[in-house]
Amino acid sequence: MALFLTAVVLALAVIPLVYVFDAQFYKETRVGLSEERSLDAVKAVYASAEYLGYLANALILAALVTALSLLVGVVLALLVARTDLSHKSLWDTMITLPLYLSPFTGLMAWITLGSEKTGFINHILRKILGVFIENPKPLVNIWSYGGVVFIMFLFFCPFVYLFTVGSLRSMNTSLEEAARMSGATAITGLRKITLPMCLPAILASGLLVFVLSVEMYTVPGIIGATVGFTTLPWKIFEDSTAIPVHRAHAAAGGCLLLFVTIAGVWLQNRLTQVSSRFVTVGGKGFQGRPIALGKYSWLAVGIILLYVLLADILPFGALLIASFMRFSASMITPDLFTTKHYVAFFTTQNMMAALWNTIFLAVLTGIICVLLGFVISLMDLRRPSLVTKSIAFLSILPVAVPGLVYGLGLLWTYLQTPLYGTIWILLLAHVAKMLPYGVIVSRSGLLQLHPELEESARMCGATPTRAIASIAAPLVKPTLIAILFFVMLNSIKELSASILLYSSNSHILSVLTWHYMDNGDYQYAAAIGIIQTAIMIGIVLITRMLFRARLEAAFGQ
Amino acid sequence: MSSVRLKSLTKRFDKTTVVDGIDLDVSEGEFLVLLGPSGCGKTTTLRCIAGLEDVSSGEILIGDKIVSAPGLSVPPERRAIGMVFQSYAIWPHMTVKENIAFGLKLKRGLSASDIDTRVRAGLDLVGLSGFAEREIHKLSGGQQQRVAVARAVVLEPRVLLFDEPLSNLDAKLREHMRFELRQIQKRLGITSIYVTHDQEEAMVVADRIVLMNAGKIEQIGPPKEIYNRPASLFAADFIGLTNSISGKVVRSTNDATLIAIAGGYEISVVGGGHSAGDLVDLLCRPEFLAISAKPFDGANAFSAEIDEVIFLGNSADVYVRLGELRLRAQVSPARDWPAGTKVWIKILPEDLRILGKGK
Repeated sequence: MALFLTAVVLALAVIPLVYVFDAQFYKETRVGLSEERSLDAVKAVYASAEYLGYLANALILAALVTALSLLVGVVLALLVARTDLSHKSLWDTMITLPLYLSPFTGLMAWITLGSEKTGFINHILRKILGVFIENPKPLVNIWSYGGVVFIMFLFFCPFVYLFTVGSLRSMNTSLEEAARMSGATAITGLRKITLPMCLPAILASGLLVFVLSVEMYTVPGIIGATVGFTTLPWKIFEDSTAIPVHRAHAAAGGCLLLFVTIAGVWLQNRLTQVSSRFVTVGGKGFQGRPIALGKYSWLAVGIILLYVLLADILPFGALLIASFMRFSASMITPDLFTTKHYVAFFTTQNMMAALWNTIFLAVLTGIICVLLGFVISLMDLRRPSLVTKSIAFLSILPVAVPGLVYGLGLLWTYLQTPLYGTIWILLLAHVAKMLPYGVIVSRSGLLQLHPELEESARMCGATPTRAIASIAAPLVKPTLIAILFFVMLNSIKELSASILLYSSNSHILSVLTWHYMDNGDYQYAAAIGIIQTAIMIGIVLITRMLFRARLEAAFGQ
Repeated sequence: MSSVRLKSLTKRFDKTTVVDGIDLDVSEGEFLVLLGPSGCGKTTTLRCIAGLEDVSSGEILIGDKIVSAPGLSVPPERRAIGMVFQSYAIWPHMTVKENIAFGLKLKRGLSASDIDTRVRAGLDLVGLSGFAEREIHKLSGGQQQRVAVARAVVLEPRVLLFDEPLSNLDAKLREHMRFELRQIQKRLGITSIYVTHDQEEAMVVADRIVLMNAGKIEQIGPPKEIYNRPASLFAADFIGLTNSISGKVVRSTNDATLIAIAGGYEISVVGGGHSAGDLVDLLCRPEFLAISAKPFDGANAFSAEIDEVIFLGNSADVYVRLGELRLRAQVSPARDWPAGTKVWIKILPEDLRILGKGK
C-alpha cells in the first residue's frame, strides 16, 4: 500500500514539478527545448525589468483583490453571523452562490453586462440618464483594470465570508459577553474581542484569496490583452502556448510564481497554527444575543443585496439572456431570441462528448481524491512513520502550485507517453490539484474521532482493516461527502491546467467556454457556461439528496 | 479466565520511560486495581496488556502464553481480552444492540439466534433489558457505560480491562456503578484489571491494589493492608489522609518504641526493633486522633489547642496545635469548638506506624 501510494504521489505531485524546475535551464527552440543547457531564460526572467514588472503587476492586482474581498467578506460575515438580520440562511446561500460559477464564466457574464458600448447596464443607464442629459457617457467599463479587480473580487469574496463566518460561529460567545459585562458596548465588544479572535481565520482566508489571485491568468489575461497590461501568469501562458514557444522562459516564470505561492501558503500555515491557540470551540453551538441593527437594518440588507445583485443575480441573469441571443446587442428585442446555441450544443457530437467528459472527470476525480485522501491521512495518523509522513507531505504539496505551472509540468512529463492527448492526463491534473484538499480535510475529520473508538473495535476482535471499514469510515462519512462535493465542483470549474492538456479527443466544457470566448462567440460560450452551471447545481442537488450533506460543511472545517 | 503475568515490563515513549520494569502476577478470577496519580504509568501498563501498545522490554503472559515481548506482539483482536474505555468508545452510528453484537458477528460459528441470545444476556447483566434498539445518543452517560461493559463481556474474554471507566460519571452514579461493576465481575469470575486514580473506588472494587508511582510499583496488597500498613509516605498519603510527624527514636525494645518529636513530646508506639537515634516518620490517621475537653488517661495523651474546625455534616475535620505541630483529626459525630479552646488529644500506641527515613 505504502509503495503504491508513494508511486502515485511521485507521479502526480513531484515529477511534474521537477520537470518544470529543470526545464528553465535549457536553450530554447521554436517548439520546445534543445539538448543544450543554458542560463539565458533564468537570467531573462529572474533578473529582467520586463518579467519582474509582470510579477509586480500580478502582486499588485492580487493585493487589491484581496483587500477588497477582505473588507466586503468580513462585513458580510459579521452581518450574517452576529446581527439580528432576518432571512439569514437565504443570505448565507446567496453569498456563497458565486462559488458555483467559475470566475471565467463570471467574466463572460460581466462582459455582456458591463462592456462600454454593448453592455446591458450601460444601455439601461444611458436610457435613464438620457432623459436628463444629452448623450451621457457610459458609466461602467469592464474592459479595464478596475474591471479585472472587480470580477476577481466578486468570485473570491465568498472564501473570506466562509472562513470568517465559520470562525464567528465556532467562537465561544461568553468572551464577548464578558466584555459587555466589563462595560463595553456591543460595537466595542465586536471590535476589541470578536474581530481580533477571528483575525487568524480572516488572515488565512486573505492569503488564500491572494494566492488564488496571483496565479490566475484567465480573467487578467483576457482583459489585460485588450487594455494593455500583462501579469506574470498570463506571460507564462503565452510563452508556453504561442508559437514560437519560450518553454524555458515559461518554466522559469512558473518557478518564480511558485516561489510566491509557496511563501503565501507557508505564511498561511503559520497563521493557521497560531489560530489553533485561539480555539475556543464550545461545541455547544450556543450563540450569544445578536446585535440589534434597529434603524440600520435597511443599510445591512442593502449591502448584502448589492453584493448578491452583482455576484449572483446580474451575472446569472445576463448569462442566461446572452445564451438565448443571436448576437451581442445592448437592446434586447424578441427577434434576437434564439435557442440555436442550445440546439447546436445538444446535437453536436463533439459537444456532447465534452459534456460527458466533464461529468466523467468530475465524478472520477472526486472519488479518487476521497479514497486517496482518506487512506493517505489515515496512514499518516494511525501508522506514523517517515514513509507515511512523507507521502502525506508530498501529496499536499500541489496546494502551493498554480494550476498553470502544474499543467505545464504534466504536459512536459507525459508528452512522450500514450497518456498525452487523452482524458487521462486531464484526470492526472485534476487529481493532483485537488488531492491536497482530500488529504487535509479527511485528516481534520479523522482527528475529531477519538482513537478509542477504533481501539474498542480491535478489543472486540476486529482486525485493523475491519476497524477502519466498520468504525472510522462510517463515522467520517459526512467529511468524505463534503470532499466529494467540493472536488467535483472544482473539477468542473478547472480551467488553468486543463487548457494546456486538452486535445480534440478530450474536450471539456470549461475549455470550450474559453475557446468560444477567444473566438468572440460570446453567446455560444454563455450557453456552455449555463450548461456548466446547471451540471454543478445538478451535482449539488443529487449529492444533497443522496447523502443529506451540505457544501458549506466542506468549507467550515 | 486466565492469569496475567508481567515480567519487568518497561515502556518508553521516545526517551521518557513511562513504565519502569514492573513485575506483577494477577491470578485467575482476581480483581486487581492499578492505582496511582495521573502520569504514573497505570494506563500505559493496561494498554500494553491490551496489545494497544508495544512493549519496550520485558514480557506479558496471558495464561502461559507470551503475548507481548520486544519484537513480538499478538494483535489485540487475537488476545481475547475485553476492555472498557474511559470515553466508553461506544460507536455512535450503531444502536445498542449493534454495538454489543459487533464482536459476536466477527466470531466464527455463531448463528444469528446465538448472537441474539448472548446480546440479550449481556443487556440483562448490565440492567439494560429493553434498550436493544435504542440509539446511542439517546442514552445517559451511565447507560453508555453499561453498554460498554456489556459489549466487553458478551465475548466471554479471558481477561477484562477497565481504563478509568467511571471518571466521566457524576459522583452519585459513580458510587453506584462501583458496586455494580464489582458484582458483575464476581458473578462472571473474569480476571479483571482496573485502572483508576480514585482511591475510594479502588478500595470498593479491588481484591488487591497495586499502587503505582512514576512508572514503578510502590506497594501491592489488599485494600485493608495498604490502608493500615502503608509501606511508604507516598502510600500513606495517596490512600486516605495521614499526619506525618518527624521524630527520633529515644529507645526501642522488641515490642515498643519511644519516639521524641518536635516540642519535646515523647510518643510510645507498639512495635520495636529500631535503634536509639534513628530518624523516623510517625504516621497517624486522623480518625485515630481522639479529642476531648477532659484530660485522658494513659500513654500519648497531651494537652493541645484547637486551631480550626471544619463542619462536614456527619463529621468534622478538626485541626489542633500540639506545640509547633498542626495535626488533623476527624471527629464523628461533628463537634464544634471555638479556635483557641484548650483540649486533650490522645493516640493509642497501636494506632501509630513508624517509617524509617529512606537511606
